[in-house]
Amino acid sequence: MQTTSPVLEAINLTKTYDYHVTALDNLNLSVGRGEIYSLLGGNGAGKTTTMNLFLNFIEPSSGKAIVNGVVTHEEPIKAKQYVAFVSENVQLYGQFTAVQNLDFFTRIGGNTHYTQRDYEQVLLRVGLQKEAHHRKLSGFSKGMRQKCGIAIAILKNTPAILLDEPTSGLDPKAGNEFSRLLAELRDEGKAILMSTHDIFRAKEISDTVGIMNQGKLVMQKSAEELKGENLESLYLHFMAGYMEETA
Amino acid sequence: MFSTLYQKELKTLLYSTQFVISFAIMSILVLMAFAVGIQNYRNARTQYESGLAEHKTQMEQNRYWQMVDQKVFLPPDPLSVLVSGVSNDVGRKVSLRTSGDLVAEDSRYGDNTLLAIFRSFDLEFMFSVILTLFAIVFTYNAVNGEREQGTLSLLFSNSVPRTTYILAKMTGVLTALILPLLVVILVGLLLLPIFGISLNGDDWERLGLIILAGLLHFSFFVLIGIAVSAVVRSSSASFLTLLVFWIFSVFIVPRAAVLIAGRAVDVPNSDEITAQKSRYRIQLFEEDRDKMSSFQPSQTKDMQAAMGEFQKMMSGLSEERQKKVSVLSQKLDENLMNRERVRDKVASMIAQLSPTAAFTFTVADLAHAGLGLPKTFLSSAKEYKNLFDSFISEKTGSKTGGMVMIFETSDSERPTIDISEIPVYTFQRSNVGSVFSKVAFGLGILTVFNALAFVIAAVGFAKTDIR
Repeated sequence: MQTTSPVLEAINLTKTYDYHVTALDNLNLSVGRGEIYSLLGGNGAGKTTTMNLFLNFIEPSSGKAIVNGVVTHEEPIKAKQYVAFVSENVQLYGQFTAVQNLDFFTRIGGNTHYTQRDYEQVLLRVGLQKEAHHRKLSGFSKGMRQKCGIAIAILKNTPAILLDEPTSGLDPKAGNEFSRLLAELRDEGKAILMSTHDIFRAKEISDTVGIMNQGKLVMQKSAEELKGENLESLYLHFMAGYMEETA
Repeated sequence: MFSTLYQKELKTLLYSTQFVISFAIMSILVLMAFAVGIQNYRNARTQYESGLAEHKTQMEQNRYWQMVDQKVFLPPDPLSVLVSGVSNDVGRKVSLRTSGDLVAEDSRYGDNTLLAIFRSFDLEFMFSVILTLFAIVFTYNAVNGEREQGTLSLLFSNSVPRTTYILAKMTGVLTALILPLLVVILVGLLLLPIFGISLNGDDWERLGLIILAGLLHFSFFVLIGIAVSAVVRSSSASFLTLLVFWIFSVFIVPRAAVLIAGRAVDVPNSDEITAQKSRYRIQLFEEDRDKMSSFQPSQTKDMQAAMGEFQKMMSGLSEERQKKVSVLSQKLDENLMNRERVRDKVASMIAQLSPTAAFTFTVADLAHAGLGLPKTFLSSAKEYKNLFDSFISEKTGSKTGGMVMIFETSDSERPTIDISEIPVYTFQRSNVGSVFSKVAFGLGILTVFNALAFVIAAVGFAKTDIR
């Protein structure tokens, strides 16, 4: 539930590529402290484009993405101080151990005060077994790498966290652990924007759910509004509706 | 931030199995180049010393100064251990017993044609061919590999300025590759005194500059590898791009430069010039033949005096002919030299579009094995010939070369000549200051290439899509 001014905000955010391909069309959304916002949508709906705009990996054609009051394409370096990112398939340096990767990415994130003990504690918190802490990443499964990715995001300790399909490919147990962690982070006051295909998990943990199709936010409902509603039916309804419109 | 990224680059390379294996191979090859160079130098030294000794033995058997067939030998240079340049193509001895042009004979490649096909395995070859290839192998996916792997997007989700990242990447990779290479080269250098190859102060200065040129050349390929990997999206495409660039830089451009310069500047064939001189010499000899056949000694009873008179006439005619031939030779040689100079200049200017050619020219000049070596040796031999001719003139009253007829009238054994009286020939090598401008130019070009690669990497990465 949004209680204060938004930490993540998209205002009329649009991204058009060459040949007039519109990847994102006039997106407006906001995520406040202690809120989880899930973006649902099929492939090419514009979810990852939204993430990329918040991270200034690409520049908007119009509108703006704001992180903690900083417009990302105007002050990208400053904006990135306030956001952590976990991708669909976390890739770290295979030659380094989990602890070494954490050390590197937290230092890059501007946190140089952590000790080895801190890294080990966070890794335990995200569910990575102790014996894996000093093993090279090259032998890690996707689930283990995702855990390291979320550990890096926790250690960066930013007001906002972006998660791009973080549970894709995870087994149900790992998915549940992930949901538990997200709930903890929300309780710590983080603003979390997550893109996902996982309708059930989105309904389970989100405070707000948005459905995107062809670059547009076609539905946005709070958890309160979704009570008693079948999100899957809504999802299929909106996707089909837009498909019919564009047909 | 920079320090963290720099350390990461160092560790990423040093911890990788690819680095360990490649570096082990590279170390073995560099040390092998030293070992081969040392062995070649020692062989050349032995050959030089035995050539001198054999020549001395032959000379000691002479009983007439007129019969002395003095030869000068080109001593091998200790720096040929590292860079053979043209030293294997240049004849190692010049016979002074000629009235014609001096010719350097018995080149190492002439002795060993197999070596001529495969050329030398020296440090110059290592730096220009092998290490450049290693540089490409280590850097072709330096940036786009991180993008493909997915670490780049995680890294740039943090407040990392692109310039800091690319600077750390370049300095980190350069340090990780150059420092171990330098250690291996230093180990190789330690082998020199161990195997009795002594270098003087000038040699050490040249050696330092050779290594500096080598490292600049190597660092260019490292930087261009990073630059291409920052600009080209996929690592397989960047590998192909770099491979094509490597082939052009190492093989095509230097050879094409020679071809283009050869076409652009018309240089007369040296055999043609020699034949022209020879025809003129024969023509003059034919003109003198009547004078020789109509020779009448003023004293017919004293055979020795008559012979002396004949010899004097022959010397006079020979001298006259020589003067005329020299005038023509000088004219033809000057024309040839001027055209060759223009051709070489055009070739080297075109070739220096390739950093490898710039490097090769620079180190060859530093190792006394540049394009000027054959001319330097011949002019040194010519200079000595003048000294030797004066010495022989003093001894015999006639010049060296040409036809000599000696009639021995007594049965008694004539004592052999004392060859210690002959002026000693020493091949004076120039000091490093004499090639300063050439070397500074070469090092300057290599520095410019490095700066260019640096700028391409920085500008290219600033515009690249890091997703």
